Amino acid sequence: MPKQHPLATGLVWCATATAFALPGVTSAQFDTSGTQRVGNTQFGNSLDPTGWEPFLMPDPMGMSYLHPDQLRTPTGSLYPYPSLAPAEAPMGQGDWTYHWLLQFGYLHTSGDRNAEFFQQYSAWKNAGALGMLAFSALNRKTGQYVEFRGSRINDDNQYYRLRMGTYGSYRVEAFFRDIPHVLSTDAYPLWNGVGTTNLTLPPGVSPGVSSQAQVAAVAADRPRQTLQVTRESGGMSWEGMLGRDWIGYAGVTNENRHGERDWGGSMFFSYYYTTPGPGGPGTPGIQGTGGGQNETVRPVDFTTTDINIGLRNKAGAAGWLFNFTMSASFFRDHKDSLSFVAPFAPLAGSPSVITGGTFSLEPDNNYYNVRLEGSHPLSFWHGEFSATASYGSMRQNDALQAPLDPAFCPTGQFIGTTGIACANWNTTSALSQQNGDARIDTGLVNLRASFRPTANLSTYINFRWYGENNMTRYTMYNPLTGQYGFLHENGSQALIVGNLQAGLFQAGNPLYQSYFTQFANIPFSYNDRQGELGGAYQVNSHNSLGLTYTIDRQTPQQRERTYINDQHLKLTWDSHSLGESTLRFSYEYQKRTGSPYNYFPYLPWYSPSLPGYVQDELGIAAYTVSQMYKYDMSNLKASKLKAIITTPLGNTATLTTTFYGNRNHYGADIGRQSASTTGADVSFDWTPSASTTFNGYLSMESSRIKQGNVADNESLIYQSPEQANPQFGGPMYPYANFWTATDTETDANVGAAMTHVFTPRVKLDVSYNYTYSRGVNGYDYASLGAITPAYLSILTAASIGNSFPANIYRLQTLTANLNLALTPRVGLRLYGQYGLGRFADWHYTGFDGPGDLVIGNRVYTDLGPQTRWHAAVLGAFVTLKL
Amino acid sequence: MPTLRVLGLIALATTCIAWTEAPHAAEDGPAAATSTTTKPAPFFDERRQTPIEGDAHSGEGKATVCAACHGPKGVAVAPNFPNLAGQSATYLYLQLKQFKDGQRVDPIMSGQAANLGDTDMRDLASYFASLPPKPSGSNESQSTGAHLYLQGDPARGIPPCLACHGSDATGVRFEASGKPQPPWVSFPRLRGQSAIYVTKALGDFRSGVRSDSSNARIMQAIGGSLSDDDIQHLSTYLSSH
Repeated sequence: MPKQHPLATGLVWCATATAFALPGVTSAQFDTSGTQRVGNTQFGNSLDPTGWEPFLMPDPMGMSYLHPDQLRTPTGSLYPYPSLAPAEAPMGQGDWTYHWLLQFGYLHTSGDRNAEFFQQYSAWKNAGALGMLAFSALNRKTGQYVEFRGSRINDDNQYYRLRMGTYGSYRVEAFFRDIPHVLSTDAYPLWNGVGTTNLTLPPGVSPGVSSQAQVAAVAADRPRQTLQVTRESGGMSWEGMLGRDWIGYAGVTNENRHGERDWGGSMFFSYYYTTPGPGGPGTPGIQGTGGGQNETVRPVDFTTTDINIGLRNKAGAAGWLFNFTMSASFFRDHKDSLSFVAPFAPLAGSPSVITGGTFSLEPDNNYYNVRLEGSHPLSFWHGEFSATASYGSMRQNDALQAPLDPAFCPTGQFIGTTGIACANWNTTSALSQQNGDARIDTGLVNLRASFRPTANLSTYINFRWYGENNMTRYTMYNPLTGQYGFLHENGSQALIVGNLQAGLFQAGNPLYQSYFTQFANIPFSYNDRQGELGGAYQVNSHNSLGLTYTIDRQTPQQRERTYINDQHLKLTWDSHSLGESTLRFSYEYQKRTGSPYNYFPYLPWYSPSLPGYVQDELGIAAYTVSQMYKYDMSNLKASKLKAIITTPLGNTATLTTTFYGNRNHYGADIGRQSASTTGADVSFDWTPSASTTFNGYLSMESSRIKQGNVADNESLIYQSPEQANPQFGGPMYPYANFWTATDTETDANVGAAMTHVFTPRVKLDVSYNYTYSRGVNGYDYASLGAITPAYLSILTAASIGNSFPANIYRLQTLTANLNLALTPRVGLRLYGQYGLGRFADWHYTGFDGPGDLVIGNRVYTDLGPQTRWHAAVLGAFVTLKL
Repeated sequence: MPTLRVLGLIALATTCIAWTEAPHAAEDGPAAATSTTTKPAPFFDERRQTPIEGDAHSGEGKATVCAACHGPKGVAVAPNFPNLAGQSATYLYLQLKQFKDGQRVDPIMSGQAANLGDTDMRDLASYFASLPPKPSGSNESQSTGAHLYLQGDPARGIPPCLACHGSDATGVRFEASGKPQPPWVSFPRLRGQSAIYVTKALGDFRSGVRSDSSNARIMQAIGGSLSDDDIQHLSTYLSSH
């Protein structure tokens, strides 16, 4: 190692010594919650994203008494000015000192205060608010400390944290936090019972007998509701020394997610046009009166409890460093099902026994993991060997629900004229097993050796094995009937289409012996072996080059390929040779190949593999076109490029420019063909002094995904043996039915933020942000044969065009904070945020009021985000401090 | 309107709290008044200090009284006074200014500086800087003091002094690099100072007697890592060097 000049060494030492002497560097702004071993992630909220706003008064002394301007990071960015340490006072006669701060006030919203994008992650309300309550005490002699801070915007948006311990000995932390996520502010659910597991129809609507006009009339009078999910979490954790070299840690976190969100409720296809509208072919068809699709509202009532305990060795036992961790996560869904009453009869004009449906919601899940990591220095080339092994298991064993709900298919009734008795399907006796008994185990082994044979060269070699074993085995077999499969769409498919497509297979029964259906879960599993060889070489004092080669061999089971080889070659170049600028450049090329592609490897889990299956004389309709490549199994040639240029401008400003892009070309015509992203970021940071900071930024990105597919020739289904031909270009999948879809998105983000301390008593923060996003779903097709026949009669080439209308999202936000120190102990904070948004999404076209939410046999809940809105939140706070 | 009422209440509460602060201020008032003469001087940030300019010839005419202690040619008449000849003009100016403004306190110098104007201080500093420094002594590099000065003691957190005072203790000759630079011209020449004076200065830094400027804070942190023996070794080395 070259000897450093004593002058340089001395400056570093001086800087270090003086930095420790600076009072501000121990400010509470430094938060180590990110270790994940103790506590939760960084705290903050819409009122104060940093979580420390009242304490962020920059220290004009910066980080050193040696020089006035801030130094730069190795990549050329300026270090920010540290904040002034809050004033402290002695506590009693001992060695303790303390400080506290209380900020409280009132928030007022105006304008379109219910706009979804305004409320999305804030849930603003007109109410009193706690900007911050903070208390901290420290014993500089013993290193003991206790620290509390909290902030509350409202019941759904608040956090509190208590932390205490002794530096170098132990730390204990407890926290509580609520984070809102507003999903819709203009929902008009048709159903009563929102938030429960049982959605019922309101007066004026009767299941199965109401007309579309009647349902629309009732929908028009439904009250407006906000759908929101709140994440409420709390926990405790500890980390402490156990002897000289061992550190133990443990933590438990509990998160409750509660609220409501939009959900589904399918009762078979609706909108099924058999005839064009009054204007003849090419005109909008008459709305269908069969089936039903219902946008319901589901409850969210989850609890996730995470437990983490571990032990690590920091000094080495026989030269080894260890970290041993055991973790567990317990997910509980307190609402196991959702049932809804359907307003329309699935079979038009024929009141039926199927009057609703039931969902099985997420099952409870237990997850366990044990992990051991170790490292040991090697005696040559300054090497180090490290190894990691872990084993995990996920298990679910909820009681299973009956295939049909007795409320919507009562005992004694039959599904239409199929002869399918509800009593055989509305009981858990219709199941092959009573509990899920699902389990997936995972294992990981990672071995790594790294070396530094010379001062300029570092290398490593890494081997990794990961395995995932799905041990879940479930057979859809009804012991009451001896049938395999399941009744689709709550039984409504059988009601509408009849026995031939009821969803069931039964050997020896002419009605069901030839039906093609899945009868068991497919236990997807895989193993992954990865080898990597990499290194970096310091060419000279200004340039370093890095090269990494990775070979990843995946052997999936029950998938389209038996193995996949992914090879990556990555080149990096870090350079200081471009004048004052620093360049970080990387380029990666990836190539994926694999075994021959089998478009349908799932036959063992489908009825033809069961004894007694009688193949129809017309054969089995092709599962899909054989040239279909799923993108995670497809061949791939991909390249990624990224260049970051950091340019210092004098001692107080930095210009950072980033270019990036990736190009993925899949070896497929059917399936995903290509995906690409191109973007650039420019950021200008200027800190002329501790009292002024400015940041301006501009980001632009465009992305494009193209996929292809081919519509099947529906005229052959159940009509011709050609239906079994899976070849692209064959009679079932003719070239004429080929189509492509290209999704393009353009995003831009521009803004600026400025902070200025006019005097130590007046501080102003102002920021502005503009976000723009434009997405277009475009398409192309070989001929009108690509259009589903059901819709062809109401469409023409002209009306189809080549894209849907663009989806556009625009949001402007101006935020200002003014802090006035009235006295050393009393301050005033004025907060303002103004938001202006524009939104267009063709999915919501025509939804102007709740009466528009019923279209044919479809019932929607949400009008969608507001298309034009502006809203503001103003706050006034009093700050009291020690 | 309810909002306005609440905002009004907040404003009122703020006013009340601010008012209740007034008695505190009033209570503090007399103490502040009685301590007017001992009011601490504002912290002096020297980090942006540039080289000063002054009229050395004019300064010579104003230096008569200084000669009583610092000698007619800037070489002190007694070892408890610092030698000023050949010292950095900017350093001298800053010390006079701090004596005048109260960041440094000395029974003699505080009074002497109190009546000096800014131009006087510049002229005096330029004059003494223009004088030939005291001739150097030996050039040894093996003593404990030399080792401390040149290498520091990393194990005890002592940086090498040469980083700021130069390898020969006459100051640092630096080259602009485009990066933030320390105010080199504000660092003193140490070569040839008496051991008694260097010992006193390092003791003052270590005890915090001199701590009200950015440079003093640097030396305060370094002084805190020095033992009495270290100070003695350094003083001996610098006085003989």
